[in-house]
Amino acid sequence: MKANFSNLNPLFAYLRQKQEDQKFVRSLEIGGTFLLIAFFIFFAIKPTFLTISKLVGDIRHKKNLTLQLRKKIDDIIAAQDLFAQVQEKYYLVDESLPSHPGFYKLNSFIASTAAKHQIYFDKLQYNLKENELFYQTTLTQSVSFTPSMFFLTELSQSRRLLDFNGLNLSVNEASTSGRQINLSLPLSIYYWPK
Amino acid sequence: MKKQFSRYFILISIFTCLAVFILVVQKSYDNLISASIDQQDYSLIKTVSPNLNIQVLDEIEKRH
Repeated sequence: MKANFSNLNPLFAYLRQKQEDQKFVRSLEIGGTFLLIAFFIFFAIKPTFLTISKLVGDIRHKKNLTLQLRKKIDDIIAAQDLFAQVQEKYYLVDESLPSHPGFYKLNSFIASTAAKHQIYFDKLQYNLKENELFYQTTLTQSVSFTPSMFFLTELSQSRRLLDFNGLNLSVNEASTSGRQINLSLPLSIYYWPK
Repeated sequence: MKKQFSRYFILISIFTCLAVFILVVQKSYDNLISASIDQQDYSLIKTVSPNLNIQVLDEIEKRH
């Protein structure tokens, strides 16, 4: 019996060796398969995926660009409509801030407004300075209090851009009735030279 | 010896495969996110604000 076992030992050793060899070959096959898959991914799938993703990215980006440009076109159309509205009322802008000093227009406005309230200025003197966007004048006259207030209110409601730099009211000592006051109103009148 | 070699061989091949897969996914995602369109297009995107304050004109119109 023992002799039989001793005869079988080389056979078992051979079978064990054979089994290990088979395992080794199988592991080599598995490893090789993974390496082949990696090779395939790197050389076949990678360029395809990169191209597809680039194209999809470009399409998405162009869609966004189209949306943004459409919004910009809508904004431009809205701006055109608004600009047309402004153009219709451009005379208001010109009356408020003319491109030239407009002495005559201002002079007649001040004189007519003052005359409505029985105020008459002896002279109106304008100081025009170079490189300034405004010129100055000072309205000085001996006037009654109430009409002068109406005059100032009307002047402040003028379309022309005027800046009241200060207001000086003082009692006129020389007035016989005692109702007269001295009005001194320095003004800055703006314009927008081209 | 053969057993150890086969184990390392399988591990290395699996990790190589995973690394290549991750590389492809990462590059594809990068391509998807970053646009390849020229910068000159961006000057067109600058927004235009259509908001003009035309209430000022109404206020001027109320004056005389």
